[in-house]
Amino acid sequence: MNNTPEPQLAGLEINKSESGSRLEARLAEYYAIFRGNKLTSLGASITLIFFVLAVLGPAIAPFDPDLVELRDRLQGPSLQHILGTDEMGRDVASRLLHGARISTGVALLSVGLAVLFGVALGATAGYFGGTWDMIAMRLVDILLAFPSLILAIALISVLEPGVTSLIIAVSVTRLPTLARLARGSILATKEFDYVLAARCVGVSDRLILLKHLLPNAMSPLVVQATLSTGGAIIHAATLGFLGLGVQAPTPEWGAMLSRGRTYTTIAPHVVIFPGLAIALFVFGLNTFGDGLRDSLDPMLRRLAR
Amino acid sequence: MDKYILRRSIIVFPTALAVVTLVFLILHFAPGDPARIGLGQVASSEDIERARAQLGLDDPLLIQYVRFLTRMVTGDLGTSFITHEPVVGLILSRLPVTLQLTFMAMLLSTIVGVSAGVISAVRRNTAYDYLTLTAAVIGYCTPNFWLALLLIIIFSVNLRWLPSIGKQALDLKYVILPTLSLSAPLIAIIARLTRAGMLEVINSDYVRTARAKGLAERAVISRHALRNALIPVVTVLGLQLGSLLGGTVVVETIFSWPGIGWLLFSGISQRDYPVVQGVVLFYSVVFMFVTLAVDIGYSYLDPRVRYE
Amino acid sequence: MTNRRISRRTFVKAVGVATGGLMLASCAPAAPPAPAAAPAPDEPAEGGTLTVAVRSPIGGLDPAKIVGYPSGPAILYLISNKLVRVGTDLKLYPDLAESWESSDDGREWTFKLRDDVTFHDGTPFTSEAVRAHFEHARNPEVAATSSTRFDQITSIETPDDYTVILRTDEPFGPFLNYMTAFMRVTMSPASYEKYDAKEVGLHPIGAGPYKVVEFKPNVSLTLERNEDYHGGRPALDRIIVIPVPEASARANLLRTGEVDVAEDIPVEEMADLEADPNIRVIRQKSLNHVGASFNFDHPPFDDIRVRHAFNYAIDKVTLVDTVFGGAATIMDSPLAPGMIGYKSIGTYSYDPEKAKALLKEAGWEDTDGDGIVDKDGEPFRTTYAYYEEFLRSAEVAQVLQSDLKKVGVDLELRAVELASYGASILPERGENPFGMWLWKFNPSAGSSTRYLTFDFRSNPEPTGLPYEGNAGWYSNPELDALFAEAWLEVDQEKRAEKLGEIQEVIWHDAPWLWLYMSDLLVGVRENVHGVDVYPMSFLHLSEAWKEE
Repeated sequence: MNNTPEPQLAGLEINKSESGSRLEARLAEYYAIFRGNKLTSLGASITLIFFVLAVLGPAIAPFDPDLVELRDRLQGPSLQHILGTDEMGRDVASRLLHGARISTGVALLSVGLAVLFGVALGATAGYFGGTWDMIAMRLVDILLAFPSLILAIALISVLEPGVTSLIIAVSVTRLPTLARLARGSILATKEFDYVLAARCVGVSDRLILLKHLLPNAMSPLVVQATLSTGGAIIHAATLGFLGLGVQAPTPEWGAMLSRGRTYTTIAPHVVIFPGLAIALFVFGLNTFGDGLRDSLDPMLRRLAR
Repeated sequence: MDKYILRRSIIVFPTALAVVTLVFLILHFAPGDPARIGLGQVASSEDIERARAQLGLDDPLLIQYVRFLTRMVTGDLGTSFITHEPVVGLILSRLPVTLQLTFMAMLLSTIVGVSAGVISAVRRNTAYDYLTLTAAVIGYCTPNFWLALLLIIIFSVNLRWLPSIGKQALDLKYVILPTLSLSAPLIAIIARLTRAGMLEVINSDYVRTARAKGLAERAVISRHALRNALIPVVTVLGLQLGSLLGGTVVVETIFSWPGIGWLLFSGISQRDYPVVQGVVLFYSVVFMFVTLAVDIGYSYLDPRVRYE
Repeated sequence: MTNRRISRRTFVKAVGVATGGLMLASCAPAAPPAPAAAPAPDEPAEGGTLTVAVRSPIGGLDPAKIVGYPSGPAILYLISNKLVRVGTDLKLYPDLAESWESSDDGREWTFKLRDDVTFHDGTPFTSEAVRAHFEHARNPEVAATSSTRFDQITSIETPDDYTVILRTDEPFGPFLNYMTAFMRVTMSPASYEKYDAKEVGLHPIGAGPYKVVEFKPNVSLTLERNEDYHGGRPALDRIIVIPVPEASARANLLRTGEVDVAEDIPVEEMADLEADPNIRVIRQKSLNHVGASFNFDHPPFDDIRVRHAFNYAIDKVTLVDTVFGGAATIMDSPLAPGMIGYKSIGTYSYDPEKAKALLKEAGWEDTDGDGIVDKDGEPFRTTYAYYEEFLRSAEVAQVLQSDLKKVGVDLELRAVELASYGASILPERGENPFGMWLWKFNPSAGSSTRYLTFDFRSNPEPTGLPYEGNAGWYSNPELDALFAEAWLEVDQEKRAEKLGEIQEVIWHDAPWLWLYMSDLLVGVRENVHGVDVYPMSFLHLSEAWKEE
């Protein structure tokens, strides 16, 4: 990268300080979003709290999440067990806290992977065009041809059970939208003069993509990724609920809910709290994502289709 | 303009073929020996060999693939490992109840979603509006399996008003809880979209003109505003079919609703690969064609979408 | 060769003596006030529809290849009959055969058939139906198990329409018990001609009290009274069977009255259900032994000290009291109380210190202080497989994990789908990745020898697939010799003695981590009578009737 000559054409300013100020402008833009919208701030706070809990969870959990105390099974909320105990006499609150790490981890990693591969696929497709574009977009079409949950179910049912499989299965369902979005935004900007000029002077394709084109596509991708995370959490929990996710005793929220199902009648708390955790987290992510989208709307509208 | 539709339609076929191939491959590399499934726990090696030969598992992958395709073209998706019923017959016999559920969910979502959205837009920034918006956000964030269980806890276990399992009977009480669970996210989406669309239209010139003409507010809303605000709703309805179909797996499983969603779930838990293959294919082909129809329909409504 | 003739009545009495005395244990003090047999207030009322929520989806009703266990056999008993019937009291009764006799050498069994039986399709029941039954079970297309094929029978003769002679090469002790297994339910021979061998389970045509009107596999089954039933007019107009896999959902359906009978209700809800004046709970001790089989090919499970340590490490009393709400019995012998020849041997009572000492003796000690015992630098980690479809198996698995952790063993859990369970647990020797797995046996014919040989006899070949259920490749030549003797022994008393020895050897060798037998809890609406449960986990519905 260092060997690449800096473009020195007149009328084309792509130096570091310039892109730095662009970043500042963007941060200011994001900041304005929160200042302007209470719901968005609420969503962002909830999201943040969940992430903090995911990090601190094991440290602040009052009990070992796997500590079986059969004599205390299926107790309702009490001072000792604020969210009650499950069918093995384990502390539901502690399991939820440990589970936060799994649920956020699965969501973040699956969306992260989807962003990584989706953007790589979409951006190169948009930039290079031609046969590669066609192949990449057909691939995306194929993935989009499945209802996403069905695709995730089909994938996970043939993978070895475990967190890794859960991440892969959820990730694949998130990928096509992100790839399309990345491609769209590259297509919209790749014919801009400065890009053409950069190409003329021999700036490598890789550099153009990474330094000039992708930063412009960041906002819609961030929004889409945020909104995608909520969906990823629901997908992961649904797979867990259907018994297709992780192995016992992993405290994945969907799986906790699924195991509590037998005891719905006598101990509804075993079902209510994990579901509440999922819904609240998704609520946070979605309102946050909605807020982001609304403020970046013009750009999104242009690129979404 | 028909060139776009033509191109869009032609692309569906290679995509469908690719989908078929993908499903074939996914299940081919699934762990476990399909020959042993359906043989019971204790099987002799002769039985396993016989089953392998019968299922053609000893043939090279390509031969198996070609055979799979040829059969599929003739409408044969194989027979269940477990019950030995033809998969196509199974899907067709389970389809009506899934259609019923999906249709009811769409109907409910449209009626509730549109009316909530319209009222919300008309009474913008009132308590009602905020309530609807909040409900919509909550509805959208609630996983439908959790909602289903909550509804069961409330209406079946505690109040004992409604049954906790769905039967095939057309009796309305069996339909209520599954339909509600399935349609909650869609109601939320439609309500929000309708509200946003209405707000945009209400302030547009022609609506103002209509008002200026002295038309009653009700007429303005229903005759002029709503019609335009509903265009995106129709589109979303088509596109949301995907998540609705995904939702049927969960909802049908919880309510023992004997449709293809439950069929898929039991197929997976029984490792009944022909059934899984068949249902996944069926879901995706349906979804693909609905998406196509929506795209084409939309391109008529709004020619701007014909990109490329 | 002179055959000793026994009349039907004396024979039945003889069997009653042989097994009856051993059945006392099935009425343990824990039994609730509601007796197993419903107190029928009056004469059975006629009419009505009985709706039954069963736990297993029923995918096929071919007796040779039932899909849906244990609900399937119960339904099969409504649709057709066997030559010999076993009652809920585990005694043998004549059914399609009115009498039988065995030759003195114990190798030939002659059955006299009823002449007044007709299948639902109009086909008369004759000896040819019995022949067709065995031929179907032995059809390679069906790929039935060896006990379904009844491989011991080497010749089937039908001298006339109502006589069947079955021969075995060797005397076969548990012959009659085998004849009472659900696989012996006899279906119309015409159905084997009409339908493909694999599809016959979708079109069950029997001679039983109820006939199939509509069968939607895995979804629902509708039965209707067989007006021409040879055993008298059945009480109910219709029986509707719906599979509801979720236990709490079944209990709820019973509460709301949407179903009349709910198989297998959760023990946690028992008190609540019993408090409901409209509901009665039937409780039956089962013969279903549940344990964890050790993999002898996975060291250190070849070390008896380690197996004993595991047996001492599990707190079975707490397990039974909590996870099963007391509705289970701790195993104290490889046989369940109630089985022929059962002998109580003793329990491996909970003693984590003893378990640790045994592990230490075997060389396993926590040297690095991580809480996991180790040997030669290797920590003690192993994997336990189970299938979630089995009642409370996930809870039990987690108890094992938690209790073993207390003695320093790290147990990883692995849930396997029921459908691929056999393939996972019983692959070719050396390919089984698990150290332990959930294993259980439901002696559906009530035969002790059958069960014990199925799981504990050495596999005849040292490689390849396990012959039957001995997937851990446990092998004890002394035991094999005892089995051979018991197998040939037709004299019930001598067999019981041999069985006692066998149980002691197995119990001490501990090829399993012995666990429990859980009770069967069935909920019925108060106006339903005549419902009972077989100790082999099947519902008994053919005598059910309903007050309207």
